[in-house]
Amino acid sequence: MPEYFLEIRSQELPARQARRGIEWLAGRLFEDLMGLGLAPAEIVTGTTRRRLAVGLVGLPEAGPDRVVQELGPPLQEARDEAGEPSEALLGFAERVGRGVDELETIRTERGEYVAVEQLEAGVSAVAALTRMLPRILTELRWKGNDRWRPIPGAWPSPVVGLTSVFDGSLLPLTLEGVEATVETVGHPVFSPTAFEVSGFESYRDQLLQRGLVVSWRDRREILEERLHEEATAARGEMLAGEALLDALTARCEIPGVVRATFDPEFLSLPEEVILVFLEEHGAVALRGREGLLPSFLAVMDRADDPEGTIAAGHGRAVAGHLADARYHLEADLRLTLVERARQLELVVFHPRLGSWATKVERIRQLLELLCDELGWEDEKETVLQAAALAKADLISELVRELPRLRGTLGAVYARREGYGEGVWQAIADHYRPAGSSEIPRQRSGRLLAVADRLDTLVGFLGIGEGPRAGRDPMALRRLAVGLLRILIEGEIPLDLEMVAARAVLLYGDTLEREAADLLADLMALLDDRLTYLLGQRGFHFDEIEAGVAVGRKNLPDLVSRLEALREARGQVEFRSLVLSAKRISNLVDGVPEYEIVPDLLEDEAEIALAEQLAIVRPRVDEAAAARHYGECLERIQDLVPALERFFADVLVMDENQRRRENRLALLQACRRVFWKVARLKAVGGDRGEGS
Amino acid sequence: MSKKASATDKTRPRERSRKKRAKESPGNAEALGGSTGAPPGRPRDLQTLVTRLLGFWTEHGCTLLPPADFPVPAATLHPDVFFRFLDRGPQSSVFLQPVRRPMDRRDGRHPFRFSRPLQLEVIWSGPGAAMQPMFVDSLRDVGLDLGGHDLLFADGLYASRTLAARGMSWHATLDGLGVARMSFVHQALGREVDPPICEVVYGLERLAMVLWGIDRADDLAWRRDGESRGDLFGGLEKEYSAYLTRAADLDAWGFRLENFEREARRCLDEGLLGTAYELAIRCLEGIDLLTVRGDLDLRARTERLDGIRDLVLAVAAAADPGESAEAADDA
Repeated sequence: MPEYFLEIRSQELPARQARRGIEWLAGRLFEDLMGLGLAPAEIVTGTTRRRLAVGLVGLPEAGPDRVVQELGPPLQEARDEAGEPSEALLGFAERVGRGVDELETIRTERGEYVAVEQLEAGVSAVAALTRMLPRILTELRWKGNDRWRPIPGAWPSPVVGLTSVFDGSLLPLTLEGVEATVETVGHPVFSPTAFEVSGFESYRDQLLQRGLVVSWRDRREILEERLHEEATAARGEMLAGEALLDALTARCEIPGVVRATFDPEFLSLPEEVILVFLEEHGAVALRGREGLLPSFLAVMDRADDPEGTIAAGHGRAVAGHLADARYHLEADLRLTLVERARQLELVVFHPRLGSWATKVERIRQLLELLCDELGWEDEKETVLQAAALAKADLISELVRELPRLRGTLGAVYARREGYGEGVWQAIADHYRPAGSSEIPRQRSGRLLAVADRLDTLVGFLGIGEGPRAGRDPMALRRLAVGLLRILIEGEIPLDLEMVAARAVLLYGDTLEREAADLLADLMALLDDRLTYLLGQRGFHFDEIEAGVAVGRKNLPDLVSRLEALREARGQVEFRSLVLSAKRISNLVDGVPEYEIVPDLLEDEAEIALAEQLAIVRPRVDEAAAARHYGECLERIQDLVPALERFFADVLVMDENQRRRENRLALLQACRRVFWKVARLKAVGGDRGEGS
Repeated sequence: MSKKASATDKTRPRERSRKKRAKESPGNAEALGGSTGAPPGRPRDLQTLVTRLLGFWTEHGCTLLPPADFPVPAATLHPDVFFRFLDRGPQSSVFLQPVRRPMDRRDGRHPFRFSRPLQLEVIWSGPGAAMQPMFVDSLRDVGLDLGGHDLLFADGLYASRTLAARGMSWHATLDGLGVARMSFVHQALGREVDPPICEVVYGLERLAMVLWGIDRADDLAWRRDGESRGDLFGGLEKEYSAYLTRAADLDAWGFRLENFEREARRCLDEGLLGTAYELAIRCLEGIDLLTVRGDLDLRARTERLDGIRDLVLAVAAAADPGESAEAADDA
């Protein structure tokens, strides 16, 4: 089967987007081809800082033939009273190239019609590609301003070459005025001579002979390996996160690694600061046995650096970054954090919400309440001290230079000034989680982050800057998700609604909205994000609903209940549990609460149920208290046989009012047990798709 | 696609010589120029580097302009660039521009960051596709052997608050050190610019450091066998740093800012547009200085800068009344 190969070469591509671009392109080609019955057996892609390449391997020559029905005139208009063909019929017959007698009649919703069925030959792969490629290539959207011309569909930088090969020969194509050939080039400096390509494999191999690794995944692997080798040679361990490795992979075609050094004097700078500045430069830091090494690894788009020119260049650049860091740090150290915190009065948090100093004061008051509520009295001193200093680094020169250092830098200064670990770690961590990163490491940091986020949410919602439809200018949704994650992952059993009410009060008359409205909006936002977050963790919507219905004041507990529910759902008995729950609910929902009067229990089945309940209830309570909700569900299960017998033998809605109310009371007691984990009636018996 | 754009007739002699060279190299339109080595007599001092770059671009049809004769924080704010965005004056130009960047003061203690660095700016209105190859050629022309270095273009946003300009920017780093920025300006003074205007800004000191393997910009020779950069400008750098950090009279600067702004508005009313623009731009040094000294926080600074931008937009609208409605809408 034939293969189609396409490569687009640009002067340069935006590092972070090239990969997304090729994935989009490959996906789009596949979808459109599949729609025509032309799906390739395999799709291979490659991308570098200058090229996007895709190979559609194992393409059918042509799509399947299809029977196409073409409608002519309605049957009653086809012939006149004498049975002679009408003008309309003759016209239709001529158009489809058949004799009048060769036409058929078919029945449709609107009546009978003259029609013809024709066999349409499947579209050839060449024709399909020729038609779809120009359109798809201009539909590729680059993010924001990342286009060299201000028109939509334009490439990020001028297109310089196009290779388009179908089954070994040219498939003509034009993009931004560049015409396709069957040739490509290697590296623009080291192997610029054109060579011919027959398909993706020959393309990849010929590039590899020239040192270029076109597959993104392969290149990243090789790069990581080479970085690792160099690190080992330097007797160090490389410090590189996924994001940095991705960025470095996007930067080269030939994955080369070079080791450079900086003046060891810079090691007197705080390690956190060095690491951030190195990462900003795209350098991989190295840690030896005794701490950071005065050297680092950089990636280059060439195989080697025989004269050390490139290592020297990176060394110079990093020396410049570290000189900046040192200069600002020295300036910053002229003031203590406390002195700096005093200046927060002069800096505006938001024009309608006051200064950073007033925000810090609100956070401190919220934290007092949090510690009291949670009974975490011994955290109070630490966390209040941390709160007082947490925002002080916002007016340091170094944070102004590199805003992502906020928090990190405050912690560095706090440590230098001798504050305890709980304090500086809380300062360091209180902006976490950012995106999917980890939550603060310690309790103090978690509390501080919760108070800070809650105050921000209340403030922005209070001046009408909350998220609306697709817009969320203050990124409050993300802020809310972070807040919920801290409570869940940090095991903080905090009643958010109560604390939020206090957070609203603390703003005094600064906010423009009614407290009750604002609070309702805030809880709606938090509920919405809670559902989203739990959904992301694999809980189904009905499970979340059933769990939340029982309570969401304690989020870690809610998650434990949901996990038990998800687990139990796979089991056969669960179905009968839900069935019983539903039957109970049907009878007692909306009925006033009654008391059980043991003397009125007469029927054997109801006595048995009452006895079983007396055994089961304390066990369920015990398991719930220990948050062993799986066991809890199993114990509840123990009620089911007695319940089933009860429903079979006993008429609940007895004519006698006292007997009836007593039976309802018994079922209400059962319902309380059933609802220890979740409002079970709301959950389907199994986790079918779409439940 | 033809790689080299012939911008105007003036470029022709150059074109010929380059075509000849292209024939000799094994490359093609996509080659960044092989390891054929540098042309003979490559510069080893800043004054030759400057004259060579100016020469390169004038030979490619750019008009050589004198620098702005008042303090600007970036070469882009040169008045002729402003007028180019209004479609007046030379289409393509090149000029050397000393700039003032109070935020970058380092008391002379940084290897290459200065409060008064030199920039060399190119404004290019020819076909944008020719920009990158020409830029790379300009580097070869001053002695860069690509075979021995690593040239990377990192994407970024081009944004000038003062000129209400946006676009796409490519930051050229050579062996890890940023040496130039090449931009495609899509929008300026609140109007769409299509085709985009290209801008190249060279960081002269850093480019020279990489080319000649020098670690401190002050050690770069200014002229062959003569003074170094530090000899000529090191003292001035320290002095300006000290002025910014300690000596500047903030009240005086506050007054000065207000005076410049008022004067700019008066000139605008009287139709003295070039002068109005100059006076508006003169405020920027003061705003930076007050920021450095902590007199303006981020919000106050933003407000001041927005005020200057509005003034600049008003000058643009007065200079080009036909577009004023559109400009006002966008602003």
